[in-house]
Parts: sequence; C-alpha cells; structure tokens
Amino acid sequence: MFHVYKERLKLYLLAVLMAASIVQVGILWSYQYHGFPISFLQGFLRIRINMDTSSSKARENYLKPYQIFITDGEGYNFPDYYIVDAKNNNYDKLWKGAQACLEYVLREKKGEQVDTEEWYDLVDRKEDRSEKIFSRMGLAAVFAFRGNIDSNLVTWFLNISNTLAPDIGGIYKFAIAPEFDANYNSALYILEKDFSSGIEKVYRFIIEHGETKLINNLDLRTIYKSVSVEGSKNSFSAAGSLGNLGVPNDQLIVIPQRQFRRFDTLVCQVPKTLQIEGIKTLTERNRLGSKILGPDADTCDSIDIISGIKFQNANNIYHMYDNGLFAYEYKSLMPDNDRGYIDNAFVNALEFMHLRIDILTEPVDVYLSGVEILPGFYRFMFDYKVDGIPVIFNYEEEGKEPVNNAIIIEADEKRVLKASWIFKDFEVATGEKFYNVSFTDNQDRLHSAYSQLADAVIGDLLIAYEVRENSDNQELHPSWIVINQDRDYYMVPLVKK
Amino acid sequence: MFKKSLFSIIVAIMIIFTSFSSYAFTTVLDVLKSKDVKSTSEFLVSIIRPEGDETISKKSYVICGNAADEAEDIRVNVLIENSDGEWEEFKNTDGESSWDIGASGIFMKEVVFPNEGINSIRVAAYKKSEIKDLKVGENLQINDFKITVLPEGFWNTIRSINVLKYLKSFVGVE
Repeated sequence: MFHVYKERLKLYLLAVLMAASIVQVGILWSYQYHGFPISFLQGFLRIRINMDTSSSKARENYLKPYQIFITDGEGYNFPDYYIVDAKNNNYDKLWKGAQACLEYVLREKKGEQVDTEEWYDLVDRKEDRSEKIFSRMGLAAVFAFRGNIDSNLVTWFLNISNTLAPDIGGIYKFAIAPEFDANYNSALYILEKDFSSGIEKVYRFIIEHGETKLINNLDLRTIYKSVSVEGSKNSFSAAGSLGNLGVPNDQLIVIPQRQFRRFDTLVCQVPKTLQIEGIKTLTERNRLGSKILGPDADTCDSIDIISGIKFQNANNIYHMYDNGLFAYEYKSLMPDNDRGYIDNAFVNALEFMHLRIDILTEPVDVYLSGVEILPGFYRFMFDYKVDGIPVIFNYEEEGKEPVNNAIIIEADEKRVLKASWIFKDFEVATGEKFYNVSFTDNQDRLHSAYSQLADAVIGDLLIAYEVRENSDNQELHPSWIVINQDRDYYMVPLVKK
Repeated sequence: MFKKSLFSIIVAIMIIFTSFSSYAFTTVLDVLKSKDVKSTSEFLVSIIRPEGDETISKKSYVICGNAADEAEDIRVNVLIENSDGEWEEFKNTDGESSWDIGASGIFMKEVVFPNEGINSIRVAAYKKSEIKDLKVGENLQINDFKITVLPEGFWNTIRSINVLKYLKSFVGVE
C-alpha cells in the first residue's frame, strides 16, 4: 500500500517538474538571444575599446564651467563684470589654470568654512555693507558650474587621492581673488549649494604671497583687459550690489532698461542619422539601431511605436522618438539599492555617452551640468552649449517629469540604469540679431506670463536657447529663463530690437 | 456751420479732459514738493537702495525698490532738493522722473547726482487708481534720503597714503 502511494507521489512530482520545465523553456524563449552566442564576451571586450574614460580625458571633455566672469573691482556704478566666453583666446589657458589652482588648494590646503556672506561680499562688493572682511579691491574671477558638482567627483576629475580640505560636499562655484589682502596673499573661495534645501556653505583657502605662482600664471589682469574692451556694452553687475532683488546676489544682471545685445539665431534639427520619419523596413530600423544602440544593436528586436521605435533585448529597452529623444532603461529583475562609488558610476555614464557622442556635430559643446545623489543611484546631467550660450530643453511628456537637460543618465557603480538623451544638430543661421537683456524688463515680462512666480524662490537665472519638443528645423532665439528652487523652469523669449 | 460747432465742442471737450489730468498731476506734484511732508513707512514700496542716508564715491547711482502687492498700479516719483531748498523733479538717465512699476514689482533707475557733497532726494510712491485723493502716509508713501557724494578721487587719495611709511617715521625706523 505504502509502495503504491510512493509511486503516485513520484508521478505527481514528475508532472510538476515537467510543467515547470515547459514554463522555463517559455521564459527563456521570450528572452532568447538572436545573434551569435558570444554576447558574454562583449562584457569584457567592450570595456576599453576606443573608450578613454580616464579622469583626465573626462575633465577635458566634460568638466567645463557654465560661466566664467571677471571683474577688476571698478565700474561706473558697481564693479563691472565681464563674461569670459569660449571664443576668448585666453579661455582655455584660464580654465586650465583655474583647475590647477583648485587642485592645489584641495590637495595642499586645509582651508576653513567661513560665513556665507563672505562669498557675496567678494562677488557683489556692496558699498554700504558694514563688515568689510577684506579690502574687496581688485581682481576676482568666478567659475560657475550649472549645478553642485559632488566633491568626490571633483577629486576624481582632478586626480586627487588625498585632500586636506574640510569636508566639502560639492562645488557649485569657485572664485579666485589674487588681491585678497594687503599682505599680497591670494584667496580661493568655494561655494557649495544644496539645491533642494537652498543651504549654502562657503570655504576659503588662503594662498600665501610666496606660493602664488599658480595664481600669477592666470594673468587675470590681461584677461580682464581683453574682455572689457567694449566697456558697458558687454558689462554686467552682480545683483547683490543693489540689495536683495529676489535673485541670488552673485547673479549677473544688466541694470539699465532697454539694453540690447547681440545673439546668433540657431537652427536645430534631429541629426539626419537618427531621423525616423520614413523608416519602414526592418533593415532601415536595424541601420538606425546600429547608430544608437552600441553593442546591443545585434541583440535587440525592434517594433514601431507611436512617434518612434522601440528596441529591446533581454535586459535593455531603448526608445528612439521622432523629436530626437532617445530613452534607455535597464530591466532589472533584482533591484539593487547599493549605488556604490560615484566615480565608478560616472565612468559607466561616460561609457554610455562615448558610444553615442559622435552622433553630435559641431558647434555643439557638451558639459556636465549637474549631479544628484539619490537612493540607489546617481543622476548625472549634461547639457549643450552653442557658441558659449546654453541650450535648455522644454520637453513635456504627459504624465511624466519634464525633460530640461540634454542628457540625463542614472547609474550605479555597476551599470547605467536609465537614461534620456535629446539628440539635436545645431547650425548658426545667417544674420545675428540684437535682443533686450535688461533685468527689470525681462523680469516684468516673465512675471506677467507666470503669476505663480510672485512667491517663488529663484535659484538660477540665465539667458539660453530654448528647444521645444514639438518642432523640428526649429529656429532658436534666446530666452530669459528663471529656475526656481524646485528646479521648475519659467521661460519667455527675449525681445528683439 | 454745424461742422464748426462740432469742432468747437470737440476741442472744448479735449481741453476739459486734458485739464483734468494736468490738474490731477499738478496736485500730486504739489503734494510731493511740499516741504512740510515727512518720511512715511514703506507701505507700498520697499526701497532697497538707498537703504538710508548713504555716502557714495560716484555721482552715478541706482535707485531701486520692490513693490509687494498690485505692483502694476504703482507709480514712483523721484525729486531732488535744489540749491534754493525747493523740491524739483529729478530725472533719471532715461529722462524720466516718474515711472510705473511692472509685473515683477522691481524697479531700478539710474540717476546722476548734480553735486558732490550732500544731495537730498525724495522717493514717492502711490497707486495710480487713487491719484485723485492722495494722503501722505495713507495712500502716498514718501521717503527722504541724504546721499553724500565724496569728492572725485577721494578713495584713491586714501589708498595712496603709505601708512607703513608714516608708522616707520613715527617710531624712527628707516
């Protein structure tokens, strides 16, 4: 009797196993690999094929300031600031020299955290502020990133293994003041900003008279002379020179009304190699996939979706839309909450970019515009500049977060988890035009367009080209853009003369 | 005949209407120029600059402020005290002594002071919708400031003083 039950149990067990094996075959069938069975090699081979992800190369390619501005401390009303743009002959020398100074102080100097007011004191030099911590006379150059760049990433960029500096969370801006005090000492200031809370910290590093060779090499006086040739036609004032205007005090503004300055008109379109209009056959889709999918091109299936094409293999989903938006997502069966080290995650982001960066063409320039540390991963933002003017995207998909950055890559130290990349080619159209850049004129127009701005805390203000999602061959004119503390964007086009 | 009469009526109407506005404007200016008026609180417009009586090193100066509510209804006038002690309109570099605030609520206007030394200025603000019945302190904000312009080159002179040299000579060290 017992023997009969045992045999029946075996039979049931066998049936269950057979059913499970069929299900398993089904699962594997749906994830089947369509290429040669050597994809596992790609993991090894891909690592360093034509891909220089060294910190020095990354520094050269992506660690670029959003803006460099300089003053000699003098001016008609307030200290006049001038923007040093990439067209300036001394730009590369200045930026390399500034990085050398930054590297030196982070490596060699202890520095100290000082009152935040000292940063604004240096930049706006408000005449009637009661406490004058230093002479506030003379030259100063400010190097501003678009976002707060994590200090671990900065030390990786600068190849610094040990730093004596205090526990700095990140660098949003830094400034070099060669004529810091009467003893001929120089100073380097670092401004750290947490954009979610608005909290700022300032660090000061004194570079003593005997060790100012790096500072002297910058030759800021010559650079100031070269950028200030046109005088007030190109000058700016720091907003804080006037008082609290509701924008960051170190924000550069043009005070007089009806001030017109020259800007190029741009034409932008989706790169020809990525245009999906007219793609109908599998061969055409594969051709597109070979441009955009990197090593996954051979392993992905493709299907048409609304306004785009979807590519997919076992672990990766790619979408290419007709407005130039390329989206990637890693399909993880087991979510990993360990983001690991930021430099490793950044290298993964760089590899993702290097596979596709050649699709972009001159005159577009890519720079790192922000870093966010989030639970389980890091988010790296990159943006475009064309002829020194930033490009801001205004892509709003229903039910999704608006996309304002050209490239957003979410990665941990193992892989890229998610990414979006708006591919556009830019061309400078013939005929430059003049636009009103006055602070009050543009703020009035912006407030007329967005009543909700009345209570907003303004985090950033810039003039940039705005690209909207729904138009190709779009003619771009400069816009006045305000970003509030919650990183919401408000934009109005500048008024033409 | 009819045309002439119509024309006369239209001209008369135009004169009457323009007289109303000039009468109203004159009245506002009369109030603003009054010597008896004292500074009020900043209930319509926060004057960011000047923050109070100030000493500055350049004749060029930027007056700026911020209106919190109903900014687009607010007009700002600036006056300066002349050598006879009378208030007169003080034109900014755009050639205007009064202006309407825009939607942002912020205004900033550049002026050039005529004299070195003390310059007394008056910044007044009121709502255009209440122009016919302005009362100081109730719906008319007035703030007086004294801006002292230092002689040209003052700071250069100060900077050129070699303190170290004087100290050395004081203690008898060469």
